[in-house]
Amino acid sequence: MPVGGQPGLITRSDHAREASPSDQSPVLELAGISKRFPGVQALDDVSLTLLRGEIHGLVGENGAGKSTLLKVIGGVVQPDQGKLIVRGHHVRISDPLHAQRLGIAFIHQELALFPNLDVASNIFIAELPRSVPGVVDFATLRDRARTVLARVGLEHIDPAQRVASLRPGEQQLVEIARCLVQRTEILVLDEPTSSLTEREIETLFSIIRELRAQGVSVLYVSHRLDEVFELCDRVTVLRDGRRVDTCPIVAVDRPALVRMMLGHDLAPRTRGVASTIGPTLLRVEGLSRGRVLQNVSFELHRGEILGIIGVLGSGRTELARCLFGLDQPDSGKVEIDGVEVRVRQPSDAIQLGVGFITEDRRAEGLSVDDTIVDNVVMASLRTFATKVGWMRRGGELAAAERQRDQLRIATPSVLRLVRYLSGGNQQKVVLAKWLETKPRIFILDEPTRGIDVGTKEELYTLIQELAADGAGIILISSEVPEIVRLADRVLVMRAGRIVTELRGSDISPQSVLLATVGGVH
Amino acid sequence: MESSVAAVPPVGWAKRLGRRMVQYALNYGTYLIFLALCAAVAVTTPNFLTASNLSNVLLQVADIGVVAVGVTFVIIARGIDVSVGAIVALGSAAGVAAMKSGGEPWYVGVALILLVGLIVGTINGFASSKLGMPSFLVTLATLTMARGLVLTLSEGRSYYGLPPIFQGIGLGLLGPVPIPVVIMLVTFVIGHLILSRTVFGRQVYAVGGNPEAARVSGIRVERTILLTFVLSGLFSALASIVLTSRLDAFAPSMGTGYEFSAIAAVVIGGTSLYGGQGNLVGTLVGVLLIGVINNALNLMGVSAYYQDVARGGIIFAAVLFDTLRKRYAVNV
Repeated sequence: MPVGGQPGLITRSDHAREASPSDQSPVLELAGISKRFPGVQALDDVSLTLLRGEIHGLVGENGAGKSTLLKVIGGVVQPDQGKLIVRGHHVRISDPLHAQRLGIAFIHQELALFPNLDVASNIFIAELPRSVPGVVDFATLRDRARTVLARVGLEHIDPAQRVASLRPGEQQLVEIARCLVQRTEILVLDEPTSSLTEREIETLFSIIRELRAQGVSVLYVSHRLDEVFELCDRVTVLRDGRRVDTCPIVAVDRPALVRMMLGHDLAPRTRGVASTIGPTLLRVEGLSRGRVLQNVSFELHRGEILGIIGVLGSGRTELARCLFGLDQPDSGKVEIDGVEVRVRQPSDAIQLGVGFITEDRRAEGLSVDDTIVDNVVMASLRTFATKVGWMRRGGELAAAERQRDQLRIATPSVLRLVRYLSGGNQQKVVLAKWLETKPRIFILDEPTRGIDVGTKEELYTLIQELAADGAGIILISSEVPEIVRLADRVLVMRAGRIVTELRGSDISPQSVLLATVGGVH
Repeated sequence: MESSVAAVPPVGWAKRLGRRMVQYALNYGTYLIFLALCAAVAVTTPNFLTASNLSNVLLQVADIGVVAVGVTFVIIARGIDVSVGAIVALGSAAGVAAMKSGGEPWYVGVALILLVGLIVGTINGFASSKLGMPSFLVTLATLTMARGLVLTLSEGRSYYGLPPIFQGIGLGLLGPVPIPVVIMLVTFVIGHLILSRTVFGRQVYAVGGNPEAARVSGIRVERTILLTFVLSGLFSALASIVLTSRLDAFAPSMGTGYEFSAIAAVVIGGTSLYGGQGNLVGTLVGVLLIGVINNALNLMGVSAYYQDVARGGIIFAAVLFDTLRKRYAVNV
């Protein structure tokens, strides 16, 4: 299982390292790659060798240069300096299509499928089989699609089904199927598991191993070190645009890897302290919405961090959306400070002192082409205006600068566009936006998704400080270690219901994980 | 030392400078083109730089300028409003009918015109936000309906001769400056202040930048969008007052093509059709640019038909600019 930070939970597969990489030939070599963007040296003399049939992990904090390196390999960004060698030939990858012709395929966090088309067409979009010139031969298309789908563990999917109707994990496997068809030799996976369930992750891993056995080379980028340890043969660590080291995975352990990424040790893990918990702040009773939420009841107290965990589709995000007024429940009631409230829209929730960090920060959290200031004040515009709605620009700037200093948002100016910040700093901007509304109830949905280890630590500290100041925090997460570390109490959701509640010493990685996956295990 | 020299080879440096210059050109190109055009016209056409001609240029674009202010709001909030020209005509038809056939005083006419703008703008806004219909098609429909109503109300005829006070709005002078020009400039100033300095203005940008994030941030997205269309309707009505009084007449074809001139001015001025970006300073320059081009073509004696070709070309170039700007922004 790729979850859990505890040694007992990591089932390191020996099978993963059966093949010795030493006798393999390089299929992709990067030599001395440097790339400078205005104000930042994104890559500084980075070299990396990807061998035929190896799974090569690439790790580093946000801003370490991983994204830029991938863009160089994909032909999206041209390096200022350095050489790219593919199968022994010196190449200049001019654009993404060129990369594809060289047999390099990318699977990104954001899927690149046509949701409106059927599965088979998505897989064979580059070369649809034809009966008469210009006419698609659907029978052949679906036959071939079935064969390919079987290779990625999707036998049960009908090739005629629309991609939009598949779950995210299945969609990702369809993308991999497309790579197989396009004779990919180098597969680059960028945080592929962030929206997958445990079982889907297992399927993905076995398919990646299968590909390796067939001679495909995989570059695997992930923040989840457990996955890197489980899957990879070798790992390369980047920090501040430089390569720290490349080594066989068997030669390092987790603390050593984290040290390489951070340049220092990680603080020891501490559980949230339950002693500061105060009176009831929020009471939810019998909340239901269609099939996604069924009779959900719970309480949240002042100063409490309430963890909610569940797999995708368990109802965790739907619960948050209902509480915040983005969706309307069919029935049930919500009380804040003992008074029944009706939240018809997010502005009602904000007025009641509820803040909501959504799970998808680019889609729902930020306006990336606006400045940091604009984003920081977005949820509390009225507090920066006179009674008649006249904005006080000075107040906005001061607030944004105060938040920048407090949250240590790495930026030379708060007038910078959010687009140019790293993922971790973008998330801090979202947090700053909500802090400006002075919430008493904070709903955090996957607050550390896609964020580097160092920033994660900072966010954990901030969350604990918020609770210590008397806020009630609902922490929704699919990462067991995060929940175990921070939560005073854990609610486990499955199929729209709260199935288990864990408290105090009952909270352990094993107990949380078992409750999450239920009897399946 | 050697590596640092190699890290910044002269070619790369020149390339970066080139890219930087392309960016500046895309960001400030409109202003440069405007200045260059003015200079070129001034040199080649001696009559251009006379006070009476410049005043005339401003007078010619006053109504389109007022319309463009409202359209800027709509476009920043990711909408589009093609009904503005029809609102100009319908407002005029209603107002002139009241003043001419009904014998009502001038202020009833003015109020009626504004009411038309308010009603059509509200319909546009309600359908585009609360009902979630695409704003282009909504306003295309109201455009067609309004044009039909114009012909019904006026029976296809033109009307001349309006109350003297009403005439005064369009034909009067404030010192040396025609009152329509004053109205346009005041409209721009007020619009600019609303957009840049008020809560509502900030909400318009937020909704245009990312409607989902705006919704989660507690901004009433539908209401904000609705208000931009109401503003667009009201500004179109104001333009209708200006135009009607300046012509001292109503004609069924009034305001034809205003939607495209206004949209062109907005986009030339750097407001993105993709929403969330832009301001009214740019729109003002866009309006003036169109005015100068029209004026120059007139002074050079180019036929009205070719002027349409030129206008179409300008819109094409403006949208191309907008698209390039977006592409370069993403690639940095």
